[in-house]
Amino acid sequence: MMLPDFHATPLRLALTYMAVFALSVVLLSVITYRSVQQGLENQLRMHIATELEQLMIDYEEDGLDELRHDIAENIKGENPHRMVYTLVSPEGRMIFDRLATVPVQDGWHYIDDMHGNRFVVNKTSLKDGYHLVVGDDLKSLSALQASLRNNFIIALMATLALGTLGGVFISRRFINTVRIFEKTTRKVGRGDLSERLPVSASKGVFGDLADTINAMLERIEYLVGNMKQVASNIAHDMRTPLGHIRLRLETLERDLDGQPGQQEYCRETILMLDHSLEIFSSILRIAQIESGVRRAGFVRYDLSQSLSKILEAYRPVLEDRDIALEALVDPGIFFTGDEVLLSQAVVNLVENALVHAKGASRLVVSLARIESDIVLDIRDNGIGVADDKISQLTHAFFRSDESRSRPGNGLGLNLVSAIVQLHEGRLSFERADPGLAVRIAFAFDQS
Amino acid sequence: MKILVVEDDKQTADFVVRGLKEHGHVVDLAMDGHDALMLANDGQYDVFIFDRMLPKLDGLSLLKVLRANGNATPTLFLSAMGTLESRVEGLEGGGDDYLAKPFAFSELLARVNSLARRPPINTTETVRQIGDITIDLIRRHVTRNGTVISLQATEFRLLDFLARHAGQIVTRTMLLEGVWDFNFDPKTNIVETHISRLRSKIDKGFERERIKTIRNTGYMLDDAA
Repeated sequence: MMLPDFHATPLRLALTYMAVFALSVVLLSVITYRSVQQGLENQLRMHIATELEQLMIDYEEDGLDELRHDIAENIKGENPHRMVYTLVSPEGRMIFDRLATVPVQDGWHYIDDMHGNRFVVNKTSLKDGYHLVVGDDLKSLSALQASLRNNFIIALMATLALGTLGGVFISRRFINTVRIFEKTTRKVGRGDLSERLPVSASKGVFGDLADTINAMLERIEYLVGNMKQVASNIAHDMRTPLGHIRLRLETLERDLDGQPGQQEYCRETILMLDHSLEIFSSILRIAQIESGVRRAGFVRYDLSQSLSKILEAYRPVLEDRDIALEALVDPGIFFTGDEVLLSQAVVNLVENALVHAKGASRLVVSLARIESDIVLDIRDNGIGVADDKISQLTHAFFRSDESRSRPGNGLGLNLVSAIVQLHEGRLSFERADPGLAVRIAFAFDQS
Repeated sequence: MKILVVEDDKQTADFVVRGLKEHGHVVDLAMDGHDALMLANDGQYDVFIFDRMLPKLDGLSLLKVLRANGNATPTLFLSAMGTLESRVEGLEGGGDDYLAKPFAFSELLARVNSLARRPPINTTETVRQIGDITIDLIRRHVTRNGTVISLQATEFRLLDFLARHAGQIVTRTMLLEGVWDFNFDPKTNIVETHISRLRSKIDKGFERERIKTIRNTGYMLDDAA
């Protein structure tokens, strides 16, 4: 059983609710306990008051001696639950029960006897200068109080326990449903627009939410598919006529043999056309990659070897530009994917560094297993990319101001991004200060 | 050479046929699969150039039929579908090479010439001799005019590829595929860089430059004596 995540809102919610509930139970218990305690004590006091009143009536009528007689009678009864009676002479001498102290003022007090037992007493000053103290043992109360307190504590514990269990149970169900939602929407975010939320996951509010989201995904899938289809169709339909134009230009070029100036002009025109054709090819490739059909052709291959081969092919090219290549490729890393696409992605990144990393003197490419991921890292120490531009790097046709005049069509990184996404990887760019660091991470192939 | 071109797109067909004829080849044209089948069965061709998308009988099926009948003529497929799957499909379907449209004529020509050479050199050969260059395939040893030239692995493979096509133009794409097994498009000229390094070892200091650059097309290893 997974430990609940304490930062998760639903758990916090459940815990908060439970805390409030527990607090109210505690409050209720305390209030009840105290009022019961108060009530019991009041009853005791009433009892004492009644007894006192009786004694006072006798005293008023028949004087001190009668009072002494009454008290002696009460004490003589050997009743273990009898009240306590003390008569204090004007000299301060205590008659009958002994108390630890004699209260000074008239009224209710709490005092102990000689054995340390606590009593609630009422002191009255008599006309003769004597003082009458009548009271009762609080011990009878405390047993009841203790029992009551224990019951309340048990009730509170039970509440807390049940509350915790209930809270955890409810929040787990809640979290599970949310997790399902999260998993699905994450897949959609990765580009798999055919994913849908399982409607059976929940009823009620979640069920309605699932329906709404699914409807939304349906629409998005349709619109995007439509859009991609249009882009694909355009690219495809443009290639044929442009291809024909290219053939004609080549024929023209051949016919211009003997007119080198014109021929060169023609050749340059062909190159311009090739640039446009390349854009359409890239669009089509990206569309094909994003459609996910290429997943069917995934194969397990030696990624380390493939990467090393590419890097060694590019080493002299980099050296010619005074860029030292540092290849840190861990051997034996296998991966299931499309080798051609991944190679293209690597090539695009290396060539990007070659073309756009002004002032770079070093390119470090590493492939390693880090925890549960396969991580490919490509970093240069060139001019780098401004922070505000980094987020735009993979957008189609993005060219930064510095690069606009350089070769390229702005689709290279868009293609890399599509390829990485197809393989369910993560692509990130960071400033390498100096330079740019590109990182691609794939979840490690367990097979 | 006698070449059969099967292409239903008129523009492309004219372009290819005209270009091949200008280079001295004898060319027949068919514009659908059935006509192609007839011509292919009757004539003795050195190379087939088939478009994949054809009316009546598509290029892939056409070749399958011919191969089943024992026709082993080297075949180049042309296709508007440039995907790698279609390339693999074509090659596994009996094709010997595959070119995506639009293509440069020089690319087509270089590949056709290369195909016509098949079966190429004796594959049990252990030593190749190109002019004064001796390539020992077992020991991976190269000498020119007696002088030992030490080459790195890639440089050796590059030289060997050029040697196997000695006297013929090989394009950059052919080199990328044949030497590195790369099926992607590099923007920077890796091939040029490696050729340049190879040149500095093979040609420098020798009277005759054997590694030639053919503008806008590719490279060639000169095999003149």
